[in-house]
Amino acid sequence: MILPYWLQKMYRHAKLKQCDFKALHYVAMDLELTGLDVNKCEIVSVAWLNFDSLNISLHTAQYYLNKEVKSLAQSPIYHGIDETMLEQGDKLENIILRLAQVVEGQVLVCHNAVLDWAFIKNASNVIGVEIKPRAILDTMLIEKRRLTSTGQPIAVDSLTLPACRKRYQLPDYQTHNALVDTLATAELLLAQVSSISAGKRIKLADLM
Amino acid sequence: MDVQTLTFIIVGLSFALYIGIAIWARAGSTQEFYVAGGGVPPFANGMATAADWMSAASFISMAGIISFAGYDGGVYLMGWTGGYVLLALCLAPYLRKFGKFTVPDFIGDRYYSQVARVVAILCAIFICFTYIAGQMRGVGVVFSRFLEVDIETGVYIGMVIVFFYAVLGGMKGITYTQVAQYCVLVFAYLVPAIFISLMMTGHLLPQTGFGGTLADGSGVYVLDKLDGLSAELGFAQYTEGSKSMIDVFAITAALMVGTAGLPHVIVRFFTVPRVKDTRISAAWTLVFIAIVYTTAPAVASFARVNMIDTINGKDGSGTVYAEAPTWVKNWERTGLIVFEDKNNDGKMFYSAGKISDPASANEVQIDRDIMVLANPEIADLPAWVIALVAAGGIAAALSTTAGLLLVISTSVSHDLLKRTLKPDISDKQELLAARLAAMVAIVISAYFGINPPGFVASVVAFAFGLAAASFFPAIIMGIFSKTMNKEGAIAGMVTGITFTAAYIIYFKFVSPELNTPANWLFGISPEGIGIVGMVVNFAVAAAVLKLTGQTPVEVQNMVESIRNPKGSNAAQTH
Amino acid sequence: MTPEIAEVKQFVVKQMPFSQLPDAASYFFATHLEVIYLTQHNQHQWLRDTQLNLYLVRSGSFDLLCARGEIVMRLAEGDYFGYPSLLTGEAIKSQLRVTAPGLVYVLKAADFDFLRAEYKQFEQYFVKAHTNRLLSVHYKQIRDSWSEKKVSEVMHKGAVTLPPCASIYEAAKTMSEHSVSSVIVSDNNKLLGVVTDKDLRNRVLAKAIDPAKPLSCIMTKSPKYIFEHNRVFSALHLMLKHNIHHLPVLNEHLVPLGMLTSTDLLRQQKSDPVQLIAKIHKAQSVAQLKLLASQVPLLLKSFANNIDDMSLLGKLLSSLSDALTSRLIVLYQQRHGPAPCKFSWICFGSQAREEQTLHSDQDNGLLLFDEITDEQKRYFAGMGEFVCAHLAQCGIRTCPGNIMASNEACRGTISQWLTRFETWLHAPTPKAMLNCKIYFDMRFIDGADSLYSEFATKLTKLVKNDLFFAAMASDINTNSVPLGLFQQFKLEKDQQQHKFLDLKRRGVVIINDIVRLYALKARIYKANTQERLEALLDSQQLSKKDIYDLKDCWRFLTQLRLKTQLESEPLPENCINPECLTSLEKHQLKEAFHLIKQAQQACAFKFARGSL
Repeated sequence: MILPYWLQKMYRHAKLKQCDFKALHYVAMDLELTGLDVNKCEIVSVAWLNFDSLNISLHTAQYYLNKEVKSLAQSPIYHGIDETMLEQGDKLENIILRLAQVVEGQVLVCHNAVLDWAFIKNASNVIGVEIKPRAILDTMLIEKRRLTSTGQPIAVDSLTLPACRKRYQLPDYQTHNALVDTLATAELLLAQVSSISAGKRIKLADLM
Repeated sequence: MDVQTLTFIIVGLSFALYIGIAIWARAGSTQEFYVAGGGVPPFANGMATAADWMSAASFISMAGIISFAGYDGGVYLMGWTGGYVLLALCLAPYLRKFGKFTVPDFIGDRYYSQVARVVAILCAIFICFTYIAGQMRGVGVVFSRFLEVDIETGVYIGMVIVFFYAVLGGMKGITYTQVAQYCVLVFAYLVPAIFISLMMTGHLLPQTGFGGTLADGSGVYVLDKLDGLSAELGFAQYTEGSKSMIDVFAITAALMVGTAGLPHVIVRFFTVPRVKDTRISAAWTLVFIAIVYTTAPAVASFARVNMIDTINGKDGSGTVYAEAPTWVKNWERTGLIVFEDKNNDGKMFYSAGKISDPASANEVQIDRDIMVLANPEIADLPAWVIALVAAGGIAAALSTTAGLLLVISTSVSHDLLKRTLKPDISDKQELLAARLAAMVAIVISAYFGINPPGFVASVVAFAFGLAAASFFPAIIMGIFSKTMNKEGAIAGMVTGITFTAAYIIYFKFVSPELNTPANWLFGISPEGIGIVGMVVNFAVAAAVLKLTGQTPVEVQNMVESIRNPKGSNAAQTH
Repeated sequence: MTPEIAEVKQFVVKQMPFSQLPDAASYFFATHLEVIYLTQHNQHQWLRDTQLNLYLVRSGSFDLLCARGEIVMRLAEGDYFGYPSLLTGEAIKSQLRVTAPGLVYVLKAADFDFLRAEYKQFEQYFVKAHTNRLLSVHYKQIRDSWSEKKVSEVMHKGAVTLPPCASIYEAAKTMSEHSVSSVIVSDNNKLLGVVTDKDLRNRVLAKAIDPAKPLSCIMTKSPKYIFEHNRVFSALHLMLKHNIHHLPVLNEHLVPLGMLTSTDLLRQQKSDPVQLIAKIHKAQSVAQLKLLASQVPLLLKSFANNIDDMSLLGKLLSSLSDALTSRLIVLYQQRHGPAPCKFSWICFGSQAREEQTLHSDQDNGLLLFDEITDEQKRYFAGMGEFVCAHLAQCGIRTCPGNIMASNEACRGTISQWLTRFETWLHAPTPKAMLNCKIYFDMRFIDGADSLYSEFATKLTKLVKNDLFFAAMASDINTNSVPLGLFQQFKLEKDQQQHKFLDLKRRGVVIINDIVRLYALKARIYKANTQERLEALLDSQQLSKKDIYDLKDCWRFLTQLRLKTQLESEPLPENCINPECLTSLEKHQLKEAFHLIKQAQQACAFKFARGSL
């Protein structure tokens, strides 16, 4: 039986949404960017980390600097990165290829996924690779939905990663680089899941 | 038995005694003893302090200086005794209440300044150096005479012995060793003095014999005879002196003030647990010092009368060299007595003037350091007395040197190295540094001991002058002025040192030919200029204080509390 | 190479033992750990036998519960758990209760073992933590009491038996072959007697009996025995009552099954300090306390066989004394009503330093409130007398120097105590120094903590006089290590002409004194020598090398000292005959004494300027 592609996709998506949170594997990812404009700005570094519903394995952590970044114009010492460090980095192409490999079939988790995904998409299009996560979870959206459901008004800065973490009494990290934020995002997701599920089974749909 | 064998035996016995006591004290068996007895009694501590205080300079040179310089030599006597009193009354009690163990620590804390502390440390090291130099010479004289070698070899031997005793032996500040050393020292000083006093004046006590008449039935007073002899031979009157009053005063004051800061003696005041005992022991020390110091002028004058009598003969026409007494021959071998028969009459003749000056009739040059040691020989006393004096001289030198070396080594290794330059050195390295420092100190002072006494005298003057002009005002202002700040104190010290050093260097080293009373400032010699430096120091400090900021309140309170007697009473009641 | 995550690494580096370890250790930990978010819903997945891990709390708070549900420990940021099983391989007995969910760092057993093998200090830290937890007064877990077990559960299975006609020689051979210390003499499965290695010594060798003779002439006839289904407690009781160390175990048909030795019993007892302390805390009467206290010597001996670090014995005894004291204070209050005002019970000397031995005497005192009335004073006089008298009956000797809360001088208000200390500080006579050496080692035991800390703070401000430090330094130098001029041992002799070295007085005590001096100078208010040395690392007083040297010396001497104390020889306590040491030990001992001597000299140098 041949179903239209879009129908297949819809079916798979619906099935995925019914998946148990615990049954899936996740990759937390964070980027450092020279700015927010996808068309003008570049990726400075990429970090990711594998985890599942139980634990986050730190030995899977990866962190790559893009050696081709052209200007650190907006903030010369962005998150403590300077030109000399960049020289020791990798080509963006290689980084994206590695990421594609890791993310394949996993659930990608980002804080503010729209932005990060846009950059990744852009970069992967340039080299002609498709990055195929099973799904993308956005801890910021999850948090936004939770806050809205409680009926609280949402302040501008209440959805930043530190602000969200604070709500779950997670440790306040002083350093901010892609790697630390990756871990911070993964920890946040586990805390959010624990809080949403309250011990019951949780489906991916509850988080999307 | 001849003198040399006896000297070996007696000196050897005295060493055995010191080492025996040290071993007994270090064996740990004393712990219970001390606890039971409540520590060292003030009487014993007084003796130990006196041993620290009385150096080879006091034992050997002081009587010699008085003997040759007469009244002028008395400045040393007065200066050193006064220095002790000053130390015991004005400094030690306050430093003790301040809870500081050394003068540099006091200055550093009182003036809340590392610079002030380091200056004080360097000053202390310098004073100790010059002091040790004097000791080395003293030991050298003793050994050269009794081992019948020249003075140079004597100093080398002394150096080795001091090194073994003070450096390799480890800690040598043991109270009871010092007590034994004092006993040997005082015995060695008094026995010949009493013998000679009895022989010459019929008085048992040298102190009364000194003012008495001669025992030969002539009814002439000792001092009158000495004045007569001096005049006859072209010396200044023995009891008159050649220095101006102001100079004598200045030198005495400079010596007093300079010695008051002697670091190795101050420590002794702190090792007595109770304040009351400290006072008693200080009083005892004064008594023990006085026993020797009051004897010194008598020894000096007896020795001089005897010496002139034996060299020039009873009739004053000279003694035939071939028949000269053995002591002249003995000391000639050390190079400390030189005879040159200028008129070729085969007789020795002693008078004023330098032996090298052809215009002078003087044919004999006598080093003044030998007076005390040669005294018993001149007076023909039994051989064991002569040997005893040797042991006494060594005891005086050892006790002081050990204390001073300890100050140098702790200052270098702990104050400078550990606390200032390299705080992370280990104990082992610190102890090694201490030993090295002591070794270097011994070698340098031995060099000064061998090379010209004139130079040493200049350096001694330099040291006391510096101490008087820098150290002392800083301590006094630290104790007696609440408001004195570090700017004032440092400025005072620097100007005091600079002024004094410039004056001394100018007269002693740059143009020694101008070193006469006519060219001196206020008629004060370079030896006494430290006291003017002190006044300058006080003045500059006061002026700078007016211009600069306030002393921190906590320092003011601290000074207040030192002088407030409440605390000491509380401690005294127990 | 796995990149380290800055925040994780920074946290790890700050934790013990990583703060003491090379950076590589922290890196290893930071890159090998897993982060979990521990909640009440997923906690059952952790702390399981199938998967042993080391856990380090990063955030949140959790309670560690024992099998019976009582709280063993409250865990918060920086606390470890899970290590006891990693160390011992025993089953996990604790459970978790989540009070606030949070992040926990998890290290797998294999990685833990790697660190353990790589870094000695890492292992030591956890071994120590484990022991401390066992000793912890709050650790009230009571295991299945070993004394309730059946004899059959603890005995050596398989009786080593010989017929009565076997020769003595055969018995000796059999014993050494089976490496046992006794044989059962039986005939037709009927128990006739027992022969122990001690019998071979006392009844054969000492009396020069021919080893070819039959066993029947030297065996202990009709020995005491026990049945396999009896409780261990009965066996212990029998042994203690008759002072025997070997009990044949029989079945219902009187057939010998094996031998129960006192060693078997002691082996069962290894975790018993915990139980004993817990019992002490529950004792309802003085008589009960005394009974518990009487178990201490035996317990100590058994415990000593199971630990590597002998200095723990001192800690163990001190915690026992602390527990006894606390309980006696409670019992006093039960009789005479609660305390009318704030007080602190403090201890001094070896108990404060946690170096107590079986021979240590009491050193304690009471710290009282400044505005105390006479009537309140009487209450505390009673308390002092009550506690001291009963401690003495519990086996802690009264102090010959009368440093006890029963003495009025040792029951002072804060200002009275301060005046006492001030007197010693200002007039450091040898007597005062002796007092300082005892009283400056001070620890709070019971009562109001606030009172004690107020006192300690005030006392700190008092100790600043350099003359006092000088006096202490000279005092230290009046004692000396037993080394001669040529590095040979200087032996002392007792009345029986035994030659010996006094390890305590001429070694450990000197180190304690030196460390106390530096600690006072650096204003460290700890009483335990090792802890003081640890704290001195942060001050400029001593170089790191010297601190580590002193630590090693102290450990070595303590170890040697306690070892000899347990292997009782006919020497005064704390003394050894150097002839019994191996050449390595002799060398180490000389080295240790040499280091002490050097530290002593350096003390005199730094504090007293070399004057004595």
